[in-house]
Amino acid sequence: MTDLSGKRILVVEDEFLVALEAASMLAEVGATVVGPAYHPAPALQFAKTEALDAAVLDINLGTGTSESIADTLKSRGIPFIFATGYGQLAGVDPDAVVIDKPYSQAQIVAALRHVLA
Amino acid sequence: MAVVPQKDETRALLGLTDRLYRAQGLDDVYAAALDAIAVMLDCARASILLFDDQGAMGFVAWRNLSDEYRSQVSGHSPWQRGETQAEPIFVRDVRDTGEPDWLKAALAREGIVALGFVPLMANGVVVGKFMTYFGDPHDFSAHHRELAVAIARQVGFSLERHAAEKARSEAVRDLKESGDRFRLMSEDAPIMIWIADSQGKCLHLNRMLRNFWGVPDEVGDFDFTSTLHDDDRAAVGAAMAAALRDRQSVTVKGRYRRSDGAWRVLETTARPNFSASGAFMGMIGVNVDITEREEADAHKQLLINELNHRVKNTLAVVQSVARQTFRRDGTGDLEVEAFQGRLAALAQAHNLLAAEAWQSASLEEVARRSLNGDADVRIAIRGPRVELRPKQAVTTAMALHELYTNAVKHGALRSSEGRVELSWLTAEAPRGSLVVRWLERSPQPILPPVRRGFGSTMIEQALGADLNAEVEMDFQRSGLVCTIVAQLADTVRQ
Repeated sequence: MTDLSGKRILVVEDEFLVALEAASMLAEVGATVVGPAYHPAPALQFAKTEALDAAVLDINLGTGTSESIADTLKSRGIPFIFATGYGQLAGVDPDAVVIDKPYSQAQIVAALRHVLA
Repeated sequence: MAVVPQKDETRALLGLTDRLYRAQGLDDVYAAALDAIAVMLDCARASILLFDDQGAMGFVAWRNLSDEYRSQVSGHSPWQRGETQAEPIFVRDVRDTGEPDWLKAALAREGIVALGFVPLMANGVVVGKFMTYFGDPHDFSAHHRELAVAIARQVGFSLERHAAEKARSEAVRDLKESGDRFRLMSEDAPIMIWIADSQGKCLHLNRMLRNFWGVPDEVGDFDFTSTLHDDDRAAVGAAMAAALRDRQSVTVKGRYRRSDGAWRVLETTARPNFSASGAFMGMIGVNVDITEREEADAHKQLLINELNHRVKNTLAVVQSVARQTFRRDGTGDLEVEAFQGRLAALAQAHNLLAAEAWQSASLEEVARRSLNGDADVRIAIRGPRVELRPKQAVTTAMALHELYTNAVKHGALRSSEGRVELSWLTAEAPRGSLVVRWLERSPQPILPPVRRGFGSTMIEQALGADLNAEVEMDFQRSGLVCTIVAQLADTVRQ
């Protein structure tokens, strides 16, 4: 299993408290959090320019979806996971790794390790 | 009396058979019969009489009989209509019999002395007779009697065949009339109606369906499959094939292009028709445009998904608030973890219900999601299909989560060898009875809990309230045995 310690992880989440929670869960296991980004525009900026090892993307960002951010990450070869409240009905790429809200620290860590492996 | 050679009789009998076979109508049958009687029985006078609708015997064909004679004896018969046992009667000299005087007088005026009455049978009953008449006392030889019966049999069979043919053509006419009536009635019906032949070709489309597809009043060689969406061909074809195979109605949805170019969802219910001999004759069906209904259903599901998304986001926020609060207050990690597990159980139940449009969720599915991946690993699940109402599903998910986490922390699942059996059964009486049992099997002895927390409340009181259940918690040395006896009444579907 890949250790998350020292990994640079982008967090994209439009809900402040949920983003705060994700950031603290990741910081607790030694990861460096990039962001969090609360809106599509800054998220896209991070995705294009930051040095990143992986990303956690909320699918529905209120003012848009994270689809273009996912595409940008994909073109850079940066792995990512989706976090969603839509359950099994998310309607994303069936190969994508999706964690269901509310998620535990164990779940987000395991999902990130899986895509980083 | 001349004895007709055997060979000529055979030829005459064959000739009769041939003429009866070719007869175009009853008049041809009578003419052939009278000719055969004259030749084979060697008599110049003969007649054929049949029962009419009132059961009276009347002349239908004759040779060399006066009108006066016929009118006098019409209606006279030795048999009743419908009799099954009727033997020929041959009278050598009517003057020697006890027949009534008026009949004897009529016969005398016509110059008749000897008579033969030969019954005509069709479908096993007497339908009439043929008569032979002689001017002198006449001994009917055994050979002639046999010939008479042979002729009668042939004629009877021919009458039977013509009656059947008449019935058939009337039935065909009735069928055509009822078909025409059906078309007339369906024409302005506020539903799309069609009839297709065994090749799938449209024979009839009512006005609403012709308008839908934009075809003229005369359907011609219009092929409805040309309007069917490519992606729906396989499903519609399979449904129709199943209807033929199972010989029953089928209902199938498909997208069809309307004459204005719009795709519409039609729900078709079709029934195959089979002839009496079992041959496939075609199909009759109705189409209902359910496009709006489908869109409304999709919209409803969209709203439910959206609601679920918001509920789950809110739960994630609650989780964050709790963790941030408790951490800073110095509450232990264990409590925060327990809280998080409960929130996750609640969220899972919501996912399940959202997938079923908040109608119901199966107990088995609820159980599997509440057991954190331990189902079929350390926990054996067994029970019939039971559907829970939304509130029951949420409460059951929460209670099972508590049973599970308690077993992991304090019970049988503390050790990797520990096992749990989760089983349930339903009973007809009282209606809606459901008995769920959680049976722990621990290799090490288990001590009963010293205090009761939120978990016990969830299991004993919440289940009691939402599933109308009696809950028994029996802490044995091998682990907890929890028995839940619920009365779901009319709220459970099986």
